[in-house]
Amino acid sequence: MGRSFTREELEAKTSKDLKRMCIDELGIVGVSKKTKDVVINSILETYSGGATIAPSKGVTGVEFTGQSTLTKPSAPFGSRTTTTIHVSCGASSGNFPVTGKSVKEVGDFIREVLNVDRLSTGLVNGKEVPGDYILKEGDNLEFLKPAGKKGC
Amino acid sequence: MDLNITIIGLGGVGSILIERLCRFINYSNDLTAEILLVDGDEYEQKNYERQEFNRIGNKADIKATELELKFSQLGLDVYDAFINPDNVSEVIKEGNIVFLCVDNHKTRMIVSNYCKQLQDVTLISGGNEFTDGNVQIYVRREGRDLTPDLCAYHPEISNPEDKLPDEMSCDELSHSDPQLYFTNLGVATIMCWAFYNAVIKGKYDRSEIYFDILSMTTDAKTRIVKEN
Repeated sequence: MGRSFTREELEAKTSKDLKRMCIDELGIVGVSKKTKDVVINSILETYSGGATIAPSKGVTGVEFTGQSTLTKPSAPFGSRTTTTIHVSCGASSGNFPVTGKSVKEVGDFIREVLNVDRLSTGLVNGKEVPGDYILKEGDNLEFLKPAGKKGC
Repeated sequence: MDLNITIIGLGGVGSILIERLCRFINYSNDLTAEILLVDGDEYEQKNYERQEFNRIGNKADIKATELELKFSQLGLDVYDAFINPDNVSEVIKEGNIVFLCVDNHKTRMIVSNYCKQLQDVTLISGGNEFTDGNVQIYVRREGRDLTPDLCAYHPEISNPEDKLPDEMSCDELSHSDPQLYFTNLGVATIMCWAFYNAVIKGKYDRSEIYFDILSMTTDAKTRIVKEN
């Protein structure tokens, strides 16, 4: 987690920036339709180690391994980590709490959301990996999309 | 900066791209360019829907004539044939910036593999489906790949199932899948972004860019160069 902001500093940010910060940096999900005040409160609660994190509709099919702070909201301050991983296929992408999952499991789960081809190869941090590669915090997962053929 | 540019394919993507590129270079204070236009195809009446030209005839020839009138600072040359393994070395030279705007993976494979034999080359290749597309940036300096070649992460390009235009029958040539003008425009625009980053700014950490008109998104990828 990066530096902590005061309430005043958070209020100076836009709703969009706050929500992006929640998802990308703090691992807080389910904020997309919340008001700015609620989002700020969630961030401040996360800083203090007592966040109440709303479940995201987009991840209801994921079975957590119990390793992430999403399933351990009582984890001591300082040990909390960002648990979402950036997953993309072509121009579609999203941040999903899939740390500890294999690339194949994520592909199966995310197939319809990101339009991933069944035979698509997974790249982690720009490098080809086997389907049983277990995703770690900080990984960036891409499923290869074939190149466009036309243009003439 | 003196640029030697080859543009292969002057159809839906290439005819849009070339105008923007020439305008940028022609009115730039510190750029000069020799540009070779390559295409064995002809502009036809039916192409007006998506392609930018003012006369019927060979695409490379027509486009060079048009551009000469608009952009007097540029050196323009024409190669009015399709690319194949025998002639690729005639149109791509050391130090070239190559824009590849074709509609088949076999040409992409031939050009990428040829560029891999050179010491210094920048290859920017675009392609699309109906409402989405991608652009790949292959940069090679002093005989070393700085970004992955076109085939590295794309088996559909390294083992193409399609044919070169020269290998196609009249029936095959007359059939073409529908394309959307805005998608061609998207590819051409992102190829211009790639040129600006890779050539003008020397920045090529993102080697492939995808876009999708329906979701109104773009995403740029960083990929590791594979060991030979």
